[in-house]
Order: sequence, then structure tokens, then C-alpha cells
Amino acid sequence: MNPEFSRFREQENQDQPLQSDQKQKPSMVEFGSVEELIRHDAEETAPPPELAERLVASILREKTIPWWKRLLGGGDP
Amino acid sequence: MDASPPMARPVEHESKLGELLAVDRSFGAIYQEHARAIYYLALRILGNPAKAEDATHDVFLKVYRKMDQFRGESGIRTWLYRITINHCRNLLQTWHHRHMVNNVDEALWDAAPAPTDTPLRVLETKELGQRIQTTLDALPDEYRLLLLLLADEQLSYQEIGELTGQTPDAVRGKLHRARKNFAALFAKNS
Repeated sequence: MNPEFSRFREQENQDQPLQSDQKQKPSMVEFGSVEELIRHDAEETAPPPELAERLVASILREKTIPWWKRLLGGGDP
Repeated sequence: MDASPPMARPVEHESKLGELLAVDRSFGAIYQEHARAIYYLALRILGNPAKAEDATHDVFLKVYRKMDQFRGESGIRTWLYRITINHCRNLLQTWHHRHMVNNVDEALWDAAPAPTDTPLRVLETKELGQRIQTTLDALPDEYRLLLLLLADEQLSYQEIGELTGQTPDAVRGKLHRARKNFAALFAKNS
């Protein structure tokens, strides 16, 4: 909605390589708007991979149900 | 309630998408392009990854059955969102699920010191999703949905208005208050 808003930017340690014995600390990030924050969260949230598998199974099952049974509500999730 | 779903395993996910594309190419393409957005909307409305997974499955099964009814009068994303919103609303009504702050005192938010033009600074952790969920749960339903839809850059104010049953001007008018309420609650949840 607001393309002029800048992307979130890292506030700390962006250009400094971590030493092997350093623990990675969470970095402070800044969002220009609520929408930008939510958009970032959405980009980080993937549907579970099992979902596609479940859908394939349901669709294949659907194809075996006669049309008249589907019409009567058979096979509704 | 854990609202932070596990991250998808990319290789396995790709192979399942391949299966879906093999079953029905056009449906598989719709799933591939929109599943993430539909799952996210369901997740943040329902507040539970398992319920969101079930809802997304049911929504796409409905889409598969109704694909021939899509007449292209609205964008496909709008059509998918409409089915998702209706499905989630039905689930919430069935479960009598909503007992969070729905009748919030608007004066409380108006007095809250959370100007919308200041950036939201957060420590990026795994808990960010949970914090967003907690904040959204405490918002009135209308504001929650408005913010979730506004965050999708594919939607116009016109389409958001169609999905929420109001004019684009009304959407714009409510946006400021929705942002302000979210920012106040988000700061409180830090």
C-alpha cells in the first residue's frame, strides 16, 4: 500500500562479520508502518508443507465421489 | 496458544507442489501463488497454526470445486480472500471463539501515546509473530482484518472496501485509527 516506505533496516552489526565464538544476538529492526511490520511477518510465515499433500489427497478422493453424492454434500470438508 | 508455525522445509514443499500441479495444473498454479497469503490471513484471524492449516486446506478445496464459477469480476486474490474471510468467520462463530477485547473503549486508544508516524522498533526474534498475534487478537475484528488486508500490496483500497463491506474512503478513514490502536497495543506487549 505504501511503496515509499523504506524496507526494514538492520540497526546493529549489519556489516560486521561475527566471530566464531560470538553468539548471534537478535538485531534491532525498524518498520516504517504497521503494514510493513505485518508484511514482514507474512513473508517469514510459510504454510506447512503437509498442506499441499493433504490437498492432493482430498482432490484425488473428490474425483472418486459421484457427482450426485457431491451435490448432496458428500465429501464436504 | 502458539501462533508461530514451524518454517516449511523447502525441498519437501516443492515436491508436494509438484504433485498438486500434476493433479490439476491451473489449480496448482493458484495454490502456488496464493497459498502463503491465504494461510497467513487464516493464521492471524484464527490465531492457531493447526486451525489455520485446516482452514487453508478447506478454502482451497472449495476453490477447487468452484473454479469454474470464478468469473473474473474481481481479482483472484480478492476472490480467495473473500472465501477465506467467510470460512474463518463461520469457524469463529461455530467455536464461540472470540472472547478477547472486541468491545474496547475507543477513548482508551485515542488517549494512548502512540503516534502512527514513529517507526516500530523491534528486536527480531522468533517471538515476533506471537507478539503480532497477541496485538491483533486484542484489536476489534474490523481493525484486525483491515490491517491484514492493507499489508497485502496486491490489494487496492477498492478491493479492501469490497472485502470489508465499505467504501474505499471509509477504509482510508479507519486506517489511521487502526494503525494507532495497533501501535499502542504493540508497544504495550513489548
